[in-house]
Amino acid sequence: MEPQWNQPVKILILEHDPYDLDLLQYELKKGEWQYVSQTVQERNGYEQALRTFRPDIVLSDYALPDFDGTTAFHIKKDISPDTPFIIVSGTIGEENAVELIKAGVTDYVLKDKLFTVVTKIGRALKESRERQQKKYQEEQLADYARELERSNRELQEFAYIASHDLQEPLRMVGSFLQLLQRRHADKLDKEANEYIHYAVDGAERMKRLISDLLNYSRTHKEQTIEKVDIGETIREALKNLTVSINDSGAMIQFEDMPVLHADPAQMLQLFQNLISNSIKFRKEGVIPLIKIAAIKDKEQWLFSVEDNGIGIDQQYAEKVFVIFKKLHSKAKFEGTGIGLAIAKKIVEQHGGKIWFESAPGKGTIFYFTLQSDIK
Amino acid sequence: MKPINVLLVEDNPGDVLLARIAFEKSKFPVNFHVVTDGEEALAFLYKRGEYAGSEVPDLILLDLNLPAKSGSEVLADIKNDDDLKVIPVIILTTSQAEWDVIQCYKLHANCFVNKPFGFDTFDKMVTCMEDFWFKIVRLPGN
Repeated sequence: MEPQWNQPVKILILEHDPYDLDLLQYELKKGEWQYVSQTVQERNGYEQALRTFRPDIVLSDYALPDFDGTTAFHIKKDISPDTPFIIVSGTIGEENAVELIKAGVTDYVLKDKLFTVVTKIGRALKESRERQQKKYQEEQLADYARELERSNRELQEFAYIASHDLQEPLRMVGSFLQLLQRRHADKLDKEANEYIHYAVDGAERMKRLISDLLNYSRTHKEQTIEKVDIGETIREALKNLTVSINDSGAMIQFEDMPVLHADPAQMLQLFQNLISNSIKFRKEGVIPLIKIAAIKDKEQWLFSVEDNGIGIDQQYAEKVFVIFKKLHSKAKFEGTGIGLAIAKKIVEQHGGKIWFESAPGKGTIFYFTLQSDIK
Repeated sequence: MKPINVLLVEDNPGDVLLARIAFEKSKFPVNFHVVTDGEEALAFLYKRGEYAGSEVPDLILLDLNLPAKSGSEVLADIKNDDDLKVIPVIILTTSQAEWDVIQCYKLHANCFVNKPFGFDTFDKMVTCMEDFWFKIVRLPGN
């Protein structure tokens, strides 16, 4: 609960001498703040008051009949650790007082300087309130962090379970439509077969979307960070893309690449997604030329993947990175629109940023940054 | 050739039908038994109640996602029983989670197969399974 300070200050006074108590009360009335006080004289009453009266501050004499100020302080520390504790004493020497402060007593007031008590209480309360406020804020922050972590985890589980459980009924739709087509196509007319074709096609697309969603939700925080030779990563990506590289005649150039601390599987996916996009979105009749470069920029590496493809209108700067967002019809370019969403997630999970420069018809340069902790 | 007893543990009637159609076309004589949950599977294997006369299967196809007692629990029970553990268990599931794959092999599953999408691929999978488990592999007692 947020601390409240509009109530009168509750002062617990531990004092057995009625004359000293009168003097103290007289001084307290000079304070600008409203207060209520309770006075106790011996140990049992003191312990009980700490628990029931719940003071905002304790003023304690040092020499007490059945115990002393040091014991009183330790009792307070056990019962109410955050409450400030001020010794008010005529007998305590400066040296003794310093020892007490070292032990954790908030402050002390000598009885011949009793007029300082109001200022000292004010200061002690201010400090105590600041501490409480800070503690409250820290607790709130920790609560938010916990809540965020929990909802993130839930979201991840949701995406995973949803995509997994969604596959089951979809398989049924796809399988039985196919079975209908295989076994009864001759009993159906052309129109009916066309309907089935669209339904099968829809089910297959849905299946791809779901498995992409599954992949996207799998690209989560739990990374395996290792030394990754990005040059090797690119070579591996090119190997995986052999078919589309051969089909398109694409030329891919890259020079010296750094070795980084990163998740190797995610790095491969990142480069593979960007390169395959460059090949996929090539200009008709133009051989795709893709240049990959890396420059060290202070604490990070700036990578670029440049192509001579169809380009992207700048107005889609944000949209291209949104999951399942496509800029082209399915007839023109295959795919679900997951590639750049995953690329963005990977870069961000490595503490970097991704963006592009492009104009329609002029090719695209994708830029992204990765931390450089090796070399 | 004496008929091969296959026990399918599957709660989804669609998958049961797909498997039935695929096994019907088998070039091997197959006795196809179906139970729809984990408890029923164990009743079948231990010949309890209505399954008093059941034959010990030569091969078990086990779905993971079953109501109540899960597939992996059934798998653990089978592989903990000295008599039943010799029966090959094929896990047949939609789950693509690496965790499930590892868990099943740790529980001594004999293989882990993802349910294919579409009838054609399902049919092909069953044919492959038959070729491997009924022809290439030697099963105990055969």
